[in-house]
Amino acid sequence: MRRLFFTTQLVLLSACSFSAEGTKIRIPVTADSSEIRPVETDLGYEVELTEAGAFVRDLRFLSAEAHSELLRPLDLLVRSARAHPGHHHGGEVTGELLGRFGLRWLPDAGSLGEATLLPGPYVSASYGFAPAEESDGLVQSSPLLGKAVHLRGRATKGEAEVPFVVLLDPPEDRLEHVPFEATVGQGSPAALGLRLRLEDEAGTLFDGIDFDVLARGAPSPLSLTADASDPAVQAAHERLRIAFFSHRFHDVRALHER
Amino acid sequence: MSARSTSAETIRGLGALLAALLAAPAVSAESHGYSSEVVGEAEPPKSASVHRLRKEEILLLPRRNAEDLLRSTPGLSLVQHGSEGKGHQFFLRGFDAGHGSDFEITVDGIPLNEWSNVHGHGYLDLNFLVPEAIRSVEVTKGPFTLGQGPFAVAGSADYRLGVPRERRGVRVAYTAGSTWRHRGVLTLADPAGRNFLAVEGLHDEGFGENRDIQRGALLGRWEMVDEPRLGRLHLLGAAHVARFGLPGALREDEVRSGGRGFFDASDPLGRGSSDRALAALGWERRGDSTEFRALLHGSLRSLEVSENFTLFLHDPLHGDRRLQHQRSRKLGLRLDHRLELHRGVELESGAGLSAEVLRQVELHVDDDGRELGRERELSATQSLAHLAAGLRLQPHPALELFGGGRIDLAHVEAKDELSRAEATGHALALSPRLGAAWRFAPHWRLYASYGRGSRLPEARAFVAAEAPPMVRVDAAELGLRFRPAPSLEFGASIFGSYLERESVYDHVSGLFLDLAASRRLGGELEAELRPLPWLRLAVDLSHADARFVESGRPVPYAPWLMFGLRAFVLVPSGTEAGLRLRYTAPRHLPHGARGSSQVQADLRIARSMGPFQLALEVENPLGLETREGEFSFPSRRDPSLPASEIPTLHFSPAPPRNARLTFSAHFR
Repeated sequence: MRRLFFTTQLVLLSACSFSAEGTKIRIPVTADSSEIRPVETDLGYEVELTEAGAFVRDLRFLSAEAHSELLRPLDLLVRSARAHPGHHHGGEVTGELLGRFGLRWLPDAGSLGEATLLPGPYVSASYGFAPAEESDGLVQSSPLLGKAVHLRGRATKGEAEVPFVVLLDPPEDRLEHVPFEATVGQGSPAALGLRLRLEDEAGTLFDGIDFDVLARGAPSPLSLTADASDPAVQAAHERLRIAFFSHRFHDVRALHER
Repeated sequence: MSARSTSAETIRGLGALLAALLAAPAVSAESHGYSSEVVGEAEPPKSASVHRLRKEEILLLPRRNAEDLLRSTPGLSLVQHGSEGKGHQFFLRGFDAGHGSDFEITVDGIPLNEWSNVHGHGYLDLNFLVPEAIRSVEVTKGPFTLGQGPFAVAGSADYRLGVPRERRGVRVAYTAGSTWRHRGVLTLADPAGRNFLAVEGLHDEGFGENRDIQRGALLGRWEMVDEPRLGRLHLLGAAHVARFGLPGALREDEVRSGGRGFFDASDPLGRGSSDRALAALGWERRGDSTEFRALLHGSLRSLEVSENFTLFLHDPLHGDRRLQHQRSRKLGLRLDHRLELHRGVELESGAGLSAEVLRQVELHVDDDGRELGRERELSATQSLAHLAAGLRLQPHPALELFGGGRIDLAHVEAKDELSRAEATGHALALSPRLGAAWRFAPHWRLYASYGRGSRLPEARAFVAAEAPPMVRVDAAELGLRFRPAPSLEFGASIFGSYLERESVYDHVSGLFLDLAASRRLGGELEAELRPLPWLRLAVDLSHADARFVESGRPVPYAPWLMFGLRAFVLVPSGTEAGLRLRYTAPRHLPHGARGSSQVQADLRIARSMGPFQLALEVENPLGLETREGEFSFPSRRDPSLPASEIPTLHFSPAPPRNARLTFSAHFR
């Protein structure tokens, strides 16, 4: 009887298998400056950047099981019945690079680290912005302290050339829905590039900013910061801040060569 | 002494006691006279996918509750990821039907899906059903019959109440189980089975940490009038209270590393309560060529759930515990009519109207229940009306055709108490239903069915859109049944369904996401035989290939291959036994993860001696560690670690080896 019991148990156990996690893939993440090139704004300025950097934190990459449509306006408004996680997962975080990182596009692109991703089709990414700290190598008097984004360059229009610096405070919200369309598998892609684009189909990052007017009477370089005393500069800063922290000018690119 | 060794000793003790009883000579053991006939209507099923539970399946197989009866249905899988008091999760024909979002349950015609429940869309809770007062269950896989309403996307089950003929009279039973289970039940039923009362009291510590349940239930039916001229008028009443633990889902890596035991709780503090009061007044009148049924039903309902699945993922200080609470009042009227217009021509029609007033709250709370944030507060009035009509034609004695359809119209007035936004909206579903049954040879029947099913958007969705989108599925099946002898029956069917848009819930954002179209293709094989007068065997094999159309990737979580075996022994001298064995192949989980295979076996042996019966139920007699529910989602146990949102495997265990011994006395 005991033998029968154990034989039966053995037969049934042989039909059993254990669950297995999906393979986790490590992929380097770098800054991608391939789309940072001189652009012409709606006001006729040619803007060229010489320095561009940001401090970002907790990068997350979202896949959509079976290529879900991205969130529609209705979805953003409707929080559905919250049972608990686990029944289904479409459009969820399946890759990440946690921590705080200096993201330097210019003068030369830097590397952030290695992200961990599950294989599958990806549709978007998100990351937060963090304030610069002394531990980032800044002196206490540096205007970059506490700022999340730093852009330096020049805007030229005819004979006029306006050197400028942009400093943006970190926003409260994360930058969501950054386009990231790629299929991640073993060995592919070779790296992920966080790309800053200065222009999209609808315009440039610097549209609506009349550099020449703002620079009149202001010290050079023109400093576009939140604490500027000139209301016009403040308004220009605000315009830039809104534009920069929208997903229009960011994407994540699958790089096939490191 | 470990819980497991205690359990094993208890089982050995109970087994020895039972063996002694079986060896004893039977004292005037009555013949039960079970037949292979199904309980309830004996007419052939309307589609190949209809599975009517036989008496043996209701009476001879082990069950803890009303949901467990469904485990005998080929291709239908149930998962309990809470404890016994919580609603189950259903999987059928490639659908993850959640807590009821895609699986409809009615009880004596009363729809039970809680349309806008705060815990889950279409939430199903059968706590109030005393299993001893269920006389039949009919499961329809797919949306093929006129009576199937909203939520019958993957299928539906219709419970019929009443004490089975063999148990009528006065019956009292007490169960003691190795999980410190104590259950008492009393049933009173008249010989005709028209009036009955069932009372149940249950206390069970559960098979692991925080899996306890305390439940009391009362269920009764009183037939007030039964006259040919007036018809039948009956009153149905039910009430239950249940308090239970909610252990959450265990992280696979914690269990593998030895940090947690297989039957431990991930959330030792999770609790739930479920209360309901229900009343229904039914009237039924039959004539020579007509049949009319009216059902007026009303209920009061309360559900409270405190759970923490993600632990410290979002709030490293207080934890992610959420307290969900809902109260609702519902009133409904349902009318069904059948009229024989001409010989071989029958008109079926139906109408219904229900209205529900609900209030729901979801709070972020700490482990002591203190409110940290209010995430949802909604009050709503939702009403649902339906009209259905169909013609059943029998142009030839061997051929039956059915064509019809139903319209379901939902109207919702909702107020988001947090944003103060108010909304009024409606949703409309048109569902054609077609079917054919052809007895093309003496022992053969061929079935073909087509139907459309729909899932209504919950009340909250109407706050954002006047007419939020509805999930619709078109399904078809072709089936064959062969019954060469009364003791032998085979069934085979193939099915397919197409969902134009899958809507799934993303817990990270707390939003519903629209996924691309999905389709399901599959088939089922069934065989039943009675090799000996006292032995019946049933085997089934179900396959469902569920994939997203565009990518071809499998729909996660839905079982793709299941095998079932049921064996029933019924010896006239008073010995009876039932065995249920289920195998589920490893399921596709998201992002390349793979589930484990599952083997679940349950056994019941009983011996009657005059009015007394002693029954032993053993769940998982081989003591296999089976992951009944497997999930992929992120969680963080240690708040000092980075908050990784990459999903990881979690599971809910199936019960370990445990036993229940029931002593009953039955007086006719």
